[in-house]
Amino acid sequence: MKYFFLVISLVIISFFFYKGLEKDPSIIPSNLIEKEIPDFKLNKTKLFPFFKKLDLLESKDLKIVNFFASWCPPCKVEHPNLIKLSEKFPIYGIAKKDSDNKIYNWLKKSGNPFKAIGLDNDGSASINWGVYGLPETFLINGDGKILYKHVGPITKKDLSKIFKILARE
Amino acid sequence: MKLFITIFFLIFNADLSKSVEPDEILENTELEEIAREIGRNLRCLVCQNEDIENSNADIAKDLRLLVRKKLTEGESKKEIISFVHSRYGDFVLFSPPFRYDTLGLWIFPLIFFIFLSYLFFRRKN
Amino acid sequence: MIAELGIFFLILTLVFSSFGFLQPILSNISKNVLLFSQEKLSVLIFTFTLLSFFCLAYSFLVSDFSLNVVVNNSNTQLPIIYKITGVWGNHEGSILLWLLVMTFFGFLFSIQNIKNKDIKTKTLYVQNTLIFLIGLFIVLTSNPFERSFPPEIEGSDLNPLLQDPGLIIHPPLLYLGYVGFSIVYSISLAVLLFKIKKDDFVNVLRPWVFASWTFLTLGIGLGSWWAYYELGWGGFWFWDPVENASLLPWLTASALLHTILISSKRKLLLKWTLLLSIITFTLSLLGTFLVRSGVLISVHAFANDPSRGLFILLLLILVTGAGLFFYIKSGSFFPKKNNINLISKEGAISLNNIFMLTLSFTILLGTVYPLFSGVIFNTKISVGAPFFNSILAPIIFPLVIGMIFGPFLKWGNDDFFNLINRLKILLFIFFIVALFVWYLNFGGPILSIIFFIFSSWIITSSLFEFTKFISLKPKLTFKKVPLKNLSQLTAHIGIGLLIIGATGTSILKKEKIQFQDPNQIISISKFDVKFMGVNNVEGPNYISEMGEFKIYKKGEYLKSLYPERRFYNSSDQITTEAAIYSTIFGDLYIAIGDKNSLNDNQSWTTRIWYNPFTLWIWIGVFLLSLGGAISLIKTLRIKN
Repeated sequence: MKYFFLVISLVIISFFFYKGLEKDPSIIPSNLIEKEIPDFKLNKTKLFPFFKKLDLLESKDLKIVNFFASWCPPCKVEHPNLIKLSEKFPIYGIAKKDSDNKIYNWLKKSGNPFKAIGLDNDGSASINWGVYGLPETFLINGDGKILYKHVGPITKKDLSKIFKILARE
Repeated sequence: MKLFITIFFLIFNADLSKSVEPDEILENTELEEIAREIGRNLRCLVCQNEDIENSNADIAKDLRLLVRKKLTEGESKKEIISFVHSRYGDFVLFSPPFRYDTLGLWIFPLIFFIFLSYLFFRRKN
Repeated sequence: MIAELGIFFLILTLVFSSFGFLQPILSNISKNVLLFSQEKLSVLIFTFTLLSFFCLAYSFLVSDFSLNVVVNNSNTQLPIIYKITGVWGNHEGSILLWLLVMTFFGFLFSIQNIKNKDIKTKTLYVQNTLIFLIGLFIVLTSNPFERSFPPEIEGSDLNPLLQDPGLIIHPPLLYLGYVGFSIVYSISLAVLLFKIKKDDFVNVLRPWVFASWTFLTLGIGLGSWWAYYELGWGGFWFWDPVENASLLPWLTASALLHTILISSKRKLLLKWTLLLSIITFTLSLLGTFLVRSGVLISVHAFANDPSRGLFILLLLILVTGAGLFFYIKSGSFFPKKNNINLISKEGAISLNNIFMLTLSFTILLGTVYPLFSGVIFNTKISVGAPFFNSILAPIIFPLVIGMIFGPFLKWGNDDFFNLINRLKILLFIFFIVALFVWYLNFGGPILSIIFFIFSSWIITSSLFEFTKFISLKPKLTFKKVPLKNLSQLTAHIGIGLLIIGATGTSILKKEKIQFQDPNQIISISKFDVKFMGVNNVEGPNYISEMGEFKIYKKGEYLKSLYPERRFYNSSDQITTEAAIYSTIFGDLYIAIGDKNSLNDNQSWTTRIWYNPFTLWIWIGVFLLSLGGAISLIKTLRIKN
């Protein structure tokens, strides 16, 4: 009986540790999945079209919200893939702590995937969306519900995953 | 009763709030004190096990400023923490919420304690 | 060439240590298989591991960039001392150090004069088998002598946070403690495995428990000190998984060294002593698993590799499983002894055990809970300092009360009212002390007053017991003072000072964070801190922005402090080096931040803290380990 107890508890505990080994501790799930998009306030740019929360709710198609900045190196890595995404879905960009001119210069050089851009000057919109690093990308359905969040640059592999999720809707 | 609780559940804040910048500090020292307390309970999400008061990361600074802004707007400690919790999930809270999946954190030590006491002081024969 | 020699010696270690478990098996088949005695094997294994370690140290010293570890953790610009200590500033090298310490303890045990030869040989069976397993782990998953192709011209540097005197001494001491418990485990397992029918195993166990505990205490204390003065880490204690991992075996070992008192004197709790020994080493291994596998997020993270985690996990299951299996199997091997009364010395020590183990269990639970809840509930939670602090107090208070009154209890059976009657004078002194502390700390937070009162009670009760003991024997000369009493006195006073220091540093600290202009004076506590400006200074492998602060007290100049921000050339990292002015009443702790970008006024962000009684923490830790060392001397004296 005692041996049985010993073996069982050892097995259970090592199973947990083993499972824990497979998990990447740095992945943090979003708390906003399956919820409606949060409130947020953005500043207008001079050179690009602007958007508000209402715009995201009113257009009844699938859309993407991308947090980026011209000063963020991984954002440049994902840029070509973002452009590919923009061919099928509208992408709304939220630029964190950035300036008009810098965004303009960058997008002029490497193409503009964004349907509209808003500025998040104090980082408060990012916090409302639960963003903790750049870039982060949200997939939103026609009812304004958040389907999925991707953290970090979108790679080719991620691209097909994103297309799959959006195709399901 | 309140004294009892503070004594038994005191906070040993050994850390130094070493990343707070001079221009972030609120002039109202009482509010600043509350801000620190909130900050110690919030985890910097991109760091290795640091709270936002002790992290140089961008997100930590944003959260520090947000906490202080909301405090000056009159929000309470509880409201602010639950706001940040609603955005970033359980991971951001250094003291886990009291819930069915965290119940074990308090229950198991108690069971362990009772079991051990029984082992030592049970009457044999 | 040297690297090949290193791996060759490592393999020799592996081969010879395998005799640890092969020899008993082979000798069952044929009586003629004796090869070497286990004692001789231990000496050989230690020698080979030492040689292998020297080979790695040499490769670091000459910056042999054909080795992966050296490329990743060293640099030609690195000062020589950090080239050498860089050997254990990484996973592979530190595990080799772990092995070295383990073989060192095997070696020491093999040359120790033990009457019971049976225990000796059988302990070395177990120890050499453990060495084989760790050696296998190194060779299979963490080979420090792995070549990099093609050889690099320059290394990427040792993590700047580790370029600190702390690295020279903290890991070796910590490992002497951690790994020292391997021999404690080996002795216990040998006793259980081979049913060695004598309770004198407690006397064999004792010196090793005290030695390892003393080293572990020193190691943790030094780590805490390092974390205190290095700004990149979170203060003297902040419940990081790595810190918790070192605290777990310390707590069970502290329980163990109290239990050993009963088991050697009263022949009680013999099995429990063995179980605690096994648990303590298991927790050391578990700590290694948690830190090295990357399952938890910690500030001290090494580069992680799941295959290593898997191997340590298997090792952990094997070591724990074997220990507990044979513990159960030995069953009613030891005779059942009398009941334990709550109010008696045994009762007090049992309570000590219960609370120490509950604390250890709770810290373990909190540390691994995020992992488990992630697997069971698929949630991702954090358990951090606020949780640990909240469970600390309810467990610490009974321990402290036990420490105050426990030493006065009698063996066997005691009476509560009788005890109070005996301690009338002490209770009166307590009252005076409490009033005195209250008066001194008037106006301070109620919490700090309570902690100060309790810690001064610990100190007074220890001193009271000691003087009472001495006054009973008027002819006692200093040299004849029993070491048992002396070690208890020292260690308990150490705890008292530790609590005072921790309370002062965490509850009463003062802080001034500001933009400070040159020549501007900031007053904190009784000090005036004048900022003199910032100079650029070049170090061996970094450029530093060095601030200069002059400290005055009542207009009198005391000292200049030079906190720095260092910009390391090769790794592009910045470290903040605080400058500390320590006095017995408190530390003045200064750090310098950025230049104020808002005005060109030459003002800088300066952070100045006054931490009351911090020095007492380190004195407390020192006294604690001194107490351990005194006990060690005592047990060694018994032998002779």
